Amino acid sequence: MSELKPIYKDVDSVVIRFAGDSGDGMQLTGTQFSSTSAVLGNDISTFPDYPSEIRAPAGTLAGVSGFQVNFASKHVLTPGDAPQVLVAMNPAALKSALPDLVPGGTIIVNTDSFTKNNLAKAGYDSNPLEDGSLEGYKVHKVPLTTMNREALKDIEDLTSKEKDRSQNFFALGLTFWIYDRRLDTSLKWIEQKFAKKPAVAEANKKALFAGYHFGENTEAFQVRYRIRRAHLEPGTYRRITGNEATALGLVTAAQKMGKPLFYGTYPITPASDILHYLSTYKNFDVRTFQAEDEIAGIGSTIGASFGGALAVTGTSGPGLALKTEAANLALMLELPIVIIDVQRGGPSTGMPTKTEQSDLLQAMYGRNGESPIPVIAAQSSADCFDTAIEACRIAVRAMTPVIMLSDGYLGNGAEPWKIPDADKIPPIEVKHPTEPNGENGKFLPYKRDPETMARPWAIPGTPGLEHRIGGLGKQPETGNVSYDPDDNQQMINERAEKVARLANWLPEQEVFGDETGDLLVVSWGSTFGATRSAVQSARAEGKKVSHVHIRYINPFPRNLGDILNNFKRILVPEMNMGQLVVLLRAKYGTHEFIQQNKVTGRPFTIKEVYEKINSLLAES
Amino acid sequence: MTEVTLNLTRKDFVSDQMVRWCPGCGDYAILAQMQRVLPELGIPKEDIVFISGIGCSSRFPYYMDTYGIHSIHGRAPTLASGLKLTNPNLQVWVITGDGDGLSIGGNHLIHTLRRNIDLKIILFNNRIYGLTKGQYSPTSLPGTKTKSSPMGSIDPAFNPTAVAVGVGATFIARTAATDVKHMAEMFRRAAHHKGTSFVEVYQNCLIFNDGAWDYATNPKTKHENIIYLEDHKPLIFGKNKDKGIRLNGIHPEVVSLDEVDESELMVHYEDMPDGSLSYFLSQMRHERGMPEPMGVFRCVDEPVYEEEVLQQIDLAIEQKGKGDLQQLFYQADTWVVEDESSGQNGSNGQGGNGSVPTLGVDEEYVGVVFNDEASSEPYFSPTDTLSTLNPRQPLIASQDISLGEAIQKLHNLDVGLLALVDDNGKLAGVFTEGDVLRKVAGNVTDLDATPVKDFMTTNVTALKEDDTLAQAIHLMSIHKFRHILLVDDDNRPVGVLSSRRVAHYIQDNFAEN
Amino acid sequence: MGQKYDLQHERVKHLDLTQYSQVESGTTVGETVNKMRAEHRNCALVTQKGKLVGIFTDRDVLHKVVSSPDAWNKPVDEVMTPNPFTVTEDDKAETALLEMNKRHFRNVPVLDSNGHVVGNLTHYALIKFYADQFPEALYNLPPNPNQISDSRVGG
Repeated sequence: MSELKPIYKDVDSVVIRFAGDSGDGMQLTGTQFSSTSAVLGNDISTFPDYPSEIRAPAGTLAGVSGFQVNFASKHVLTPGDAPQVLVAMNPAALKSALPDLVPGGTIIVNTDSFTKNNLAKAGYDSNPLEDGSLEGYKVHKVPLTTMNREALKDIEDLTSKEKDRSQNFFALGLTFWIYDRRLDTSLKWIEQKFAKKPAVAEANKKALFAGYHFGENTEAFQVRYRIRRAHLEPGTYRRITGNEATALGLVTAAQKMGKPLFYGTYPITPASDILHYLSTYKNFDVRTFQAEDEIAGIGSTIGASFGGALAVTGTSGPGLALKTEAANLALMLELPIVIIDVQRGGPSTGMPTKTEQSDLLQAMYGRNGESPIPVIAAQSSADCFDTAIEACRIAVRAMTPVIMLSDGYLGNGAEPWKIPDADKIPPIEVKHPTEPNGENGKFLPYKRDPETMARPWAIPGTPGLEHRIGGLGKQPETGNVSYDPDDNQQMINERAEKVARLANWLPEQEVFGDETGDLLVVSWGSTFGATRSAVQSARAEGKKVSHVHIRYINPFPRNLGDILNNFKRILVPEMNMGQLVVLLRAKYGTHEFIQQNKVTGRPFTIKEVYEKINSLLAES
Repeated sequence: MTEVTLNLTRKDFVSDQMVRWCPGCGDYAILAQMQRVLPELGIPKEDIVFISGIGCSSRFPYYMDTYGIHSIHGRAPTLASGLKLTNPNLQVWVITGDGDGLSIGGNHLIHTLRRNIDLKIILFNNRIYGLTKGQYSPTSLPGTKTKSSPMGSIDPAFNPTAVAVGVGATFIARTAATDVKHMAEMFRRAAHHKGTSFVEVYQNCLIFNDGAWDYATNPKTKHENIIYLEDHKPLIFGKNKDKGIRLNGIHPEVVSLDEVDESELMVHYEDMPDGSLSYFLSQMRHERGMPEPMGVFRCVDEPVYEEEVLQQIDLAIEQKGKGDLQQLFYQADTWVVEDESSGQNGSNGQGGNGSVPTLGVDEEYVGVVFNDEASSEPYFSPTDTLSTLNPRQPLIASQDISLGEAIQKLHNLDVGLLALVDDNGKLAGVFTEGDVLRKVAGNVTDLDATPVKDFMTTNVTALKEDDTLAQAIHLMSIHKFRHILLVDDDNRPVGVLSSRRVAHYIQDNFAEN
Repeated sequence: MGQKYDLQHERVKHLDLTQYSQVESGTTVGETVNKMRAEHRNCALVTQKGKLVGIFTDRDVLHKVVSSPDAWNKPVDEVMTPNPFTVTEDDKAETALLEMNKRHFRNVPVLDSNGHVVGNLTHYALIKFYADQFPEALYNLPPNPNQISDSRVGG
């Protein structure tokens, strides 16, 4: 029992980074902390930072695995610009995460791992815990390994090395003490997860308690922080990553269409998880096909669409590049397919585990010939659910391939998701003709719907509608092969018009903030969190700035031009060298567009956008 | 497949498109036979689909009045696979050529044959690229003179049936476009087979490669150059049926039936479980003086891919019940935010339904870290660090000494390795008895005037005392090190291990008895 | 502990006995050294009409050759170790290795039943035999376990 008396401080939000070796269970520690925080009612946002190498040598910089969580009593949109607290399990973790820590931040280190060898592996010439280089930070030196082993000394069935694997629970227990979290959710989780290994379960639980009690009994940790529940909309919530949300969205769309879902794909970072999730939904008649390469992935998807399935293929930047010829075939065949690009650092192999938004122009133009394809982008992890459904709706409405853009940050990051009522999600109407649509009982495969300009989706197995389609230039209505000059021009025009008309049916663009002002920030994709937060902060100070976050990039919303006209200057922050801004200039050229570009593999911080907003407003 | 009396005729399969092949093209014959065979199959017209890639052959779907897709170069099998997986009741034909199927499409063809999806793949082999006006193709014989190979092509010819055998195709056949009755029979067999059917058709391109198959199709010569395969019958050919194929060891050879009895001949079995017989048949090439087999090389029943896929779906439904979206959404752990959430302290909050949130990443961690299988793998104990072997102190000297001095030191102490250090005592190089043999003996006249620096090995592969025995064994077994130098964290030599010491350690500690 | 290996049923001929060169009696020291260099060996077995007469290693070069220039042109018989200890190829491997250890030899020539040289038994032979029993653990290792990367490398 503790004789020390803790004092409590109330804070709005805290950002913690857990960093250690890939074998230390940092991802698990981080998710446990964030899960507990979510259960306790804080809003959370997380960002796992996986090590780049699969089995990097222990203790090296290449093997550092991190997990950042931002938990708050208010609504948070990002995992936090910079952590205020760093839990570093070894020197390499300290070295790699320290540059991100806020000045004066708190560091909790496992001193037992600061051996000469580990320091050398991390590239330290001297011990940072002793040479004064950490002055200015609040450093808590904890002999974690020793204390953990001591706490577990009575457990006979485990070796020292196995006991060391519970270290992360010790660290977790300590942070639970400091941030006034309850232990019961994690205790229950340990029992469930390690039910088959009771010695391990016991060790983990003991370690958790030990860390918590260590905090309780140590003078240095007598300041505890309380973070109130956030005011979230009432409802039932769960955590979800972007990739899982995408998978759920696709299976929902298929169910709402009453169709099997076909997913033809080839594994690629960071999109493979979508395949993994979908392959477990077989009882929803989800047919996943791990093809021999990217092109077979999209080829099989096109064949499946011809057969009447809701057909989707998923990939990342390099895969999208391989799929371009086939994407164009789908465009000429005017068949509905969805192509999901979970963007990553490029070009070429680039940085597979880092995030970027640089495939936009590829999605728009990366094909031969005049090739308009609708493009839609998700704005957050949970939003991937709605965006995936939207992409499917657009595809079947306009009988066209659709590209949905996500990215690694959204795909792997998680946020709370208010679970919708499945029955309330509207069905998606799909019509397959059963009768000929031409004179004399003929079927015209390219006779267009007067409103949507889509051609009929006649599927094999339907008597009387036999027809052939292909990638060659064609005659309107009949779809017969034609190189006639007028025919070609007409079909080019019709396909462009078909995509443009979607703007009449898709929602209008909303503005966050005033409809007019000095500065408008226009963003797309995963920059939503940082941008919205930055604009919110600026507006709270009375600044005249508004935010437009675009989801429908092709075609643009029909009122976008009018909105842009109401602002003096327009800031476009993007994780690329300027791609949305190129599209905006092409269509709405007469405005002053200011670019804010960043291609570092990391998301924008709120601070970066906020400061840019301020500097622009100060200029004018 | 329901029993429906369909009164389909050839006319039902003729489309309204004008057929645009060159007059005299072998593709006409193939089209005609396909249009004869399809009505007899008992399959409703609307259930038949033709998918092609790019090439003269690939114009085929336009001339058939069925559902069809003229897709992109080499990719037809991928579309066909997706279509068949979506609606397995359709009969799907893939029309391809030697360029479309074996060059750009090679990868897809191989995997499609391997998977055994119920598709009928007809490959029109004319040994040339016709549509693009006459370049050589993968099946062209070396020496083919074309626009892109004016001095004759160099590539050896691709053997499609051999590759099909290699990848385990369950139905392999060959025919010739001009052998119309035979070809029709091959199409019928292919249609009836459950699984991927692969039919190679020798087809003549009279514009760009006229006569390429003459030896096999010309009535005057064909009987000596091809052999018709009949199931369970011996391999006999020749106008007068006077020649046969006999296996001499593992080599098929041509024999005369005047000299050899029919009972000695190779007998053809379509349903051999492995591909060896089919492989022999695929190796019988005209260029090697063998008659080329025509007919069904192989026809076996193996699991059909799309049936297995659907079985898994049925099994999943049986085990989990038909998919319920709401249940799926709730599959993670949840918490409830009530309406009266204001003012409550976060730390006293209640978890929603009492169950505990998880994330996919946890599964990974749990699996990897506590995986039973992982710990029972052969695993060389890392507790055997090199310090356990009690390494000796190494012989150390300054790198500035002469070669003569170095040799003297080795000689006097009768050791094999001398570590050379700089002024700070850090390792600069090593000099061994091996170096004496390899570099010094007979090459240096004045040993004392020669610095050892000129002969020492810099860039030393040294280990540390807490490195594992495994690492030392690795260096000694692969790179044949006889000594390993150990250094500390400051790169100062602290120990040496000889292969003798390591061998002794292994014998003392790891011998089974 | 490490994994156990079983040598009980192996004969000497099952081990890797290739670490040697062979020269005829009367060959000069210089020619012998050059042959060893060319073949990347550090031990030469000297034979006369097929029978083993002596053994010459780099240790002999160190002690007797490198500092005595006139040794170069002498016949190798004058600097070799004559009539070395040998084993036969059908001897039990375990026994042969024990003998080798007892006598502190690093090279033990191996003869067939006719007394002809068929190989040379060294410590390498045992180490290689052991390594082959556990190839995944012993061959799949990085070239330098102490390599330090400067930064987080992409992957």
